[in-house]
Amino acid sequence: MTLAEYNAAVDTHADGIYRFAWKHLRDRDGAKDIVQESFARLWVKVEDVDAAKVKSYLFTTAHHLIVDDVRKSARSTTLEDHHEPLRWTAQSPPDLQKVLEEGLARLPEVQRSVVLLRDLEGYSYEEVAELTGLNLTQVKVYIYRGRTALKDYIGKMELVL
Amino acid sequence: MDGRLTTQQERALDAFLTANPDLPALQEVLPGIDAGAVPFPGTDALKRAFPPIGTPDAYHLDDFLVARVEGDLTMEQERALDRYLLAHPGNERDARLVMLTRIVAAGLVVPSFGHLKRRQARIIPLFVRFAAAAAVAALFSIALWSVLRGDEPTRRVQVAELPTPDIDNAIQKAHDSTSDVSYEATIDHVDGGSTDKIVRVVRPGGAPGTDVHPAPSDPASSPRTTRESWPQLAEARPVHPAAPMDPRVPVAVDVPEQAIAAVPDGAELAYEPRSAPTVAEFVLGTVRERVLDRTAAPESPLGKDDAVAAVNKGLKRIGGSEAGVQVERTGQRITHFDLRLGRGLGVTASRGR
Repeated sequence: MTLAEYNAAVDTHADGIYRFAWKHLRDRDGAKDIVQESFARLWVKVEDVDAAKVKSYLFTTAHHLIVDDVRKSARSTTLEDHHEPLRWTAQSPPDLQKVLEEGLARLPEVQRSVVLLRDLEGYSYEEVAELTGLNLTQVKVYIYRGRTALKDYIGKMELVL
Repeated sequence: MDGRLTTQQERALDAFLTANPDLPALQEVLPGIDAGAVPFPGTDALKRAFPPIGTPDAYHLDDFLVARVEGDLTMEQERALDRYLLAHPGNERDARLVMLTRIVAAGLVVPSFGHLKRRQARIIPLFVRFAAAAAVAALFSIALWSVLRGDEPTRRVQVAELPTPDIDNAIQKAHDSTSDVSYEATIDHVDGGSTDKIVRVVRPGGAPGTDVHPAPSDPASSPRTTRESWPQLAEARPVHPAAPMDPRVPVAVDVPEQAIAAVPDGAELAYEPRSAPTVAEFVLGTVRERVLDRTAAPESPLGKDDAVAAVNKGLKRIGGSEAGVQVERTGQRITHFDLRLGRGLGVTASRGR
C-alpha cells in the first residue's frame, strides 16, 4: 500500500469508521480515538496491507478496538446507565432516534456491531462475517436477534410514552 | 413408569400389589403412551432459517419482518407477507417497529480527519542543518557586533615574520667585510597576486642605494604568493666584493610602477645610526624604513552601514527574500533593529525617537 493509497483511505473510510464507532460508543471523543488508533495501526502495517482490503482491515481494527473499549467500560458502569428510561419519563419525550440509540446501546456488543456494520456501511453478510470473525450463520442470527430486541425496546418505549 | 420412584418406594409398591392381587393390572390403570405412533404435525414449522423459507405465519412473522428490512425476501415472499399483514392487521405495529430498527447516521457531524494523512518524508542532510545554523549564528553575531560596537574606526595590525637569521648573517658579514664591499638585498615584494623581486644594491659609506627590478622569473620557480601585501626579505648576499661600484654610474634600472609605489618618494630613513652607520646598519635601516615601517596605502575602513549591508545580503542568500536585517538610526543613535531569519522567525527592537 503506497502513501497515496493510505491518504486516499483516510478520505474514503475515516468518516465511516467514525460513524460506526460513534454509534457504538455514543461518545464522540471515544469515536475519534477509535478512528485515529485504527489509522495508526494501519500506518504501522501500511507496507503489508493490500489496498483492496484496506476497508476490511480498518473496520476489523475498529471493531476490535470497540470491543475492548466496551469491555473496559462495562466494568465501570454508572448508576445513571440503569435509570435511563426513568429519566426519560421525567423529562420531555425523546424522539425516535434517541430511543433507537438507547436500544442500540443495550444490545450485546456483538449484535450491535453486526447491525451497525450492516446499516451504516451496507456490508454484506459475508463482509460482516469477515470483519467480526463470525461465521455466516452467526451473523444472520445476531442481526435477527438485534433487530427483534430493538423492536421490542422501541415498542416498550412507545407504551411508556 | 416415569422412573421417578426410589428403590425403597418401588419395593413397597411391589409388596402392596402382591398383597392385593384382586386389584386391576397396572397397565390397565395407567396405559402407556407410544410416542412413535403419534407424529407431531408442526415439526417443520418450528424450524428456523435466515432468510426464512416458505410463507409467513404467526410463528415466523418476525423472521419475515426482519428479512424484509434486510432485503432478503423474494418477490413472492414480499407479496405473501403483505397479504398476511392485510389479513392480520394486529401485526401492523410489529411490522412498523421492525422497520424503525434501521440505523441511520442522520444528524451526525463527522469531524475532519485530514490530520491523519501522512506526508512524504523529506530528508535534509544533517550537515546542511548545522551549516545553516552556524551561518545564521555567525551572521547574527556579526550584525550585533557591528551594530553595538562603538564608532571607533577599525585599525588592523599586521605583523610580518621575517627570516631574521639571514638578516643577522648579512649584518655580521657586512661588519666583517671592508668598506669597499657592496651588498645587494633581494626583496620579494608581494602585491595582490603578483610577486616582484627587487634587488637593492647597497653602497659603502651610507651612499643611497639603487633598486633594480630584474626580469620576471619563471612562475613555477617564483616565490610564493600570499593574500596579504607585505614585503619579505628573502636573502642578503655580497656582490662584486673586488670591484666597488661607482655611485655616479647608474645601474640598469627597470623599475615598474608597482615597485615605485611600494617605496614612497622622499621617504626619510627611520633608522638613526648611533654613530657612523655601517653598511649592515644601513641595509637594516633601509629595509626597516622602506619595507617594515612603510605605511599602508590610505584606505577608508568599513563602516557600520557596510557591515549591516553585508549581513543583510548574507541572510538573504541563506534564507531567501524573507530574511534580512535592517538597522535604522538617527544620527549615532539606533532607533530600530529588525532581524529576520525566515517566515515567522524574526527579532525586532525599537527605541523611541
